[in-house]
Amino acid sequence: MTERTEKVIKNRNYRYPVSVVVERPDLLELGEAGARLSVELMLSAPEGVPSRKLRRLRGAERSALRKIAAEEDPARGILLQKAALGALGQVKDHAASLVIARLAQNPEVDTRVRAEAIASLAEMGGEGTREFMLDVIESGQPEDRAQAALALARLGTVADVGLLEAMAEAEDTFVGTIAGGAATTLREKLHLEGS
Amino acid sequence: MEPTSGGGVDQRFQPTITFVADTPLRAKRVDINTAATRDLVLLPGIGPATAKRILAARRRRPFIDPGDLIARGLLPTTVLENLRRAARTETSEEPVLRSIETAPDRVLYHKPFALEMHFDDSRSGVRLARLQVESMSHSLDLVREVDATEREKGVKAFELPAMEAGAMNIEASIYDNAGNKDYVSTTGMVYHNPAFAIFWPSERSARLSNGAALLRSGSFECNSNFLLLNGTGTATSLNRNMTWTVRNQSGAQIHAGTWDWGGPLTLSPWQVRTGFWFNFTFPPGSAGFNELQAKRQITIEWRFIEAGTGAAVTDSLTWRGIFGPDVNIIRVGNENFSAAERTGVFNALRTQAASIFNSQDMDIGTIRTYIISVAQAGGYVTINSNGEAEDLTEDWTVQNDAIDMFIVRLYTGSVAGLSPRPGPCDKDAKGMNGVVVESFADSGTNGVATTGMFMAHELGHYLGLPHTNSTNNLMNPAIGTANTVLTNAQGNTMKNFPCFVRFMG
Repeated sequence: MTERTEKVIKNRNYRYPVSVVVERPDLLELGEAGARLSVELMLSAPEGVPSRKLRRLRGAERSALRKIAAEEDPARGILLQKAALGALGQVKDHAASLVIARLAQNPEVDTRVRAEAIASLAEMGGEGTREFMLDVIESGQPEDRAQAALALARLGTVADVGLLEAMAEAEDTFVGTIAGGAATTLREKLHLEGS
Repeated sequence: MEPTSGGGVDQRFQPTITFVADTPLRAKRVDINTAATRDLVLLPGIGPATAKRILAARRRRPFIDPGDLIARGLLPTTVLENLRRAARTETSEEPVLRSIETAPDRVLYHKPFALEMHFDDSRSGVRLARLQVESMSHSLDLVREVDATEREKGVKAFELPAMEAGAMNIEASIYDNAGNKDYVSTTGMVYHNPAFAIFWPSERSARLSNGAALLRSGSFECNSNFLLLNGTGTATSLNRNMTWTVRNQSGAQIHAGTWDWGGPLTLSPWQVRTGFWFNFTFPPGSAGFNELQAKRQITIEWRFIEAGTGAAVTDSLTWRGIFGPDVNIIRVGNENFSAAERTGVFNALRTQAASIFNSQDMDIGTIRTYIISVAQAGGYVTINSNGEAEDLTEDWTVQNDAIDMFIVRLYTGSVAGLSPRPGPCDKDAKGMNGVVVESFADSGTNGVATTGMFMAHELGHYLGLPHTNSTNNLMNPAIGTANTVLTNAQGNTMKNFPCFVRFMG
């Protein structure tokens, strides 16, 4: 069933009254096509989508979320892709982790998408994530290494404290600052004494 | 004392007119207003000589629609028809939205018409079409199912209501059964018959009938742009001398004058002439200045005379000194912003956000730009939580009477902006005391518009506005580029905010 809303905005500052018409069929009845549009509309929220709402996404909608995360949107650029990556991390969608990891390591994609992908993987956690972050620290770009350092603050072990502290000393850009903060966080988390 | 006034022409308005190239590369789109020769010759029926002629013609003035190629003698009708029905490629994995066309070719004001999406189906089949149209009188967001016949024909038509004359921004998307998507945006025109002039406040929405009179260097400035539309099949021209009149709130004339355009303004059949501007400066002591200073509005009327018929072609705008906050744009991790993105961020606030505020007699006042270098920003180069955004605004403050808006290039998670509601008047107060917005000004077709929308939305929160579920309202939590509506009540809430918002006059 299609829902149609119509209203007329009369504003003395508009040259003419403006008719606002919105027409939407029941998107969830329209398979993957409807699911994708429905998820896109949800991801357009500037202050983010609550986790409880994301966790309710099932089947076609979850698949649409993964699809949106996988590539830049032809209309809205990286905005939707980034939001989808963030959302997948929020709901810990491990089924998407391989695609996200590929994005995180792809030098062709926008720096911000890569960083968001790393943050998303960190949010998910799970087997192999720590090792993945260590690889990124070894070979990634500054933004990637900063995100990986933040990830280690959550997922790291005692062995990683030294690595983060070394990063903090060796790097004079924001990576160093972030690594220093991450080292402190990890120390506190592991109840280690100060360096 | 009299105001100074003057006009001119630039070419800022340029429509996008795309065709799909005849190339093995799927969906290579070629915009005839910007494409290089090497891309133009990819289009079926266009050789190097025609491409050269197209380049020369568009240097003189951009094409306003596909029919312009015929009107200006550059292509025979058959070639244009072939372009429009460019050979369907083999059904590919993903759908291709080739073009958006109007039916009839020329849309006239007050007459219903149709917009047709021409697409190539995909293997799984196109299932949904979304059409968004922003015109002078309509804001449409229509989502409809695509049936088997439409898929077979590769055309989805939307019957649309009669509209007022002026430009319309059109965005179209199609979605297939596998969740693939394609998108095209373009500019269309609703013509007026007879010739018609539309003025609007510079850098703002053409929908507005009012402008913000800005106090700059001690004088009030009222700056406007305009376009001329000839919605007839015959050429016409407007006399070189245009008259203008400034009236006070009671309708009494307080200034008048003429402007010589240096020659008649000629209009070919179905031509839209764009890029005109006309500015006024009202110095202290002038009647216009006194009216605006006293918080009264003035009206400026422009009047052309059509040669031959002697008919008047007129338009008018009202101007007020209006309310608004000054804003500090603070780029966090400045080195990471490209020159284009820096400009985009500024324009997002100055044009997009201000245009929305204008609808409620508000504006963005003085915009000052500050930078935090990558080294200074440290961990704040990327914002990884709302707590971090809050800390950023607490740690950095510009000591002036303007709202601090921190622009970051990466705000992880599904979040793109954050603001306290309402924001504090004391920027040294504990807790979040500024607005944080993620920039998308360098990404996608609508990057600047989207960033501007986010800026306006977060500023709305700072000035006390909560979310609303009302369609197309700026404060709807899920916003697109069409969320430009602010109600009078919302306007009043912002105008009555106890700090930062000042009368700009």
